[in-house]
Amino acid sequence: MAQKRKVSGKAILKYTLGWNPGGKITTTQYVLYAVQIAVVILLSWLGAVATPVVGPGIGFLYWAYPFFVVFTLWWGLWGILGAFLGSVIGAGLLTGLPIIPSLGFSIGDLVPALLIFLLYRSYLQRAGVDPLGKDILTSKKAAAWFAFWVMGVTNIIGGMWGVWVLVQLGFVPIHAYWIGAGLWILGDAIVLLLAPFLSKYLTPIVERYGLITKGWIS
Amino acid sequence: MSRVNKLGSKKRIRTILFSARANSIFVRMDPLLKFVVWLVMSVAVVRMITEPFPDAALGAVVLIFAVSFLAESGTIKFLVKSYLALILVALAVLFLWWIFFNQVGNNVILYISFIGLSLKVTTESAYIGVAKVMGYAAMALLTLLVLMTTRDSDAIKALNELKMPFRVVFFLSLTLRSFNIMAEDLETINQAKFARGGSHSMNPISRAKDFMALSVPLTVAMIKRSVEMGSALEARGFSNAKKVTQFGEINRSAYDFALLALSIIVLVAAYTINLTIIIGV
Repeated sequence: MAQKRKVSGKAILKYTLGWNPGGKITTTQYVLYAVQIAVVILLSWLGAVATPVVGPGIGFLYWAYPFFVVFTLWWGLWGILGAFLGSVIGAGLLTGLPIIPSLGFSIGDLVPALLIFLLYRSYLQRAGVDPLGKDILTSKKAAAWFAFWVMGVTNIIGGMWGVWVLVQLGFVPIHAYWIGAGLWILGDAIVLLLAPFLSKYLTPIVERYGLITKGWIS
Repeated sequence: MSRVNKLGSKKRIRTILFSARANSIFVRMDPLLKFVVWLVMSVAVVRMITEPFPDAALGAVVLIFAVSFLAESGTIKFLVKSYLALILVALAVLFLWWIFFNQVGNNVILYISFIGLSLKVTTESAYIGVAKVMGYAAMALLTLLVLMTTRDSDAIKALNELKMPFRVVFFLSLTLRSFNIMAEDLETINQAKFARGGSHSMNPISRAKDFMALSVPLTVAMIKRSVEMGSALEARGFSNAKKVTQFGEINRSAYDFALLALSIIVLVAAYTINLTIIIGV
């Protein structure tokens, strides 16, 4: 269930799309946001070198994806930044992928992360879905929305964008666009099956430390 | 084997990836100019490989440039040990995709037909595949050259030269430095797992379970490190730091500008000529 309090009959949401409802970012939070980006870079790198290469610049199983989805639900803009930098540096530069395609196709990770955050903190939260994704394994509604929006819509947008960039940069032949996009989307949908488990088991730890952002940045 | 030379300075320095010869041209190059050269060359190569008739010869020039400096900086051995297999697989996949999905031209050198599917390899499609491979290899080796000859502090120095705000630069430097720290934590977690009878399986489901099993201790390690570093920074007055003067020397030599000029020449050539056609290949 979404984290809500009721005041005078009107629900007040705990996690919102306010820019900085928590006030000043503490030094610990500042460091945490930097460290989590390093973790996403590390996981992106490990995932990229361990995954089968199915196309030019296309690895089949991007293991960092469920992590940055969960980090985005927790930390908003910092998680989204982690998704982008993790892809550019971890899955791109550190695996020998050139700089320009790395920057280009990583937008295919930034946009899904951004959309996921927007959806969970607004529309889905009002629909009764937990904004941190803790109820995906326990609620059919949450599971269905996760499958539709996260594994489906945002994943498809990311895959289509990423392969389109690779076509424009001359890495993937235009006639192979749909095959490349299909492999990208399918691989990411498979690894996203881990996200509900990560959210269920890790979110209570982070909540206990009081480190979840209430808005975009704090 | 001594780590210092006769003057007492280090022979090799630790970089973002592995280490490099301290006196090599690319290591001593001004970091901001190095990134500019890297970007300019990358743009040139992208231009080369997106032409209808890609310029394989110019791609080969950039590739030779990258390999030469990798050898000069003493980093080519790391490339061979760690990245060669990965890059070769990527290049092979790239070549095959361009052969299968770009069957252009009339000068057929190989024709295969199997269960209704046909593959026609022509000199044109093979040339395009080779040109793409040259371009990709050139960009990949250039990227690895920059990463293997740049220290964390060089990257931060480049950001400071761009006059970025202190907190932004510090944030990025924390991220870069945390990468190695978290990699060590991850290795510790893996060792602990093996000590408790864990195994390293190639099975995808086992790999997924491994990733899940790593996630809890990794998250806890991440939070613990953040709390410790946060406390250390607070103790040093970080939250009160408003405008911090960054000190750093800018050392730009003639080599740096020569490399910059070369990269601009390559960029102009990529947009104005086709070296492959000129040399008549």
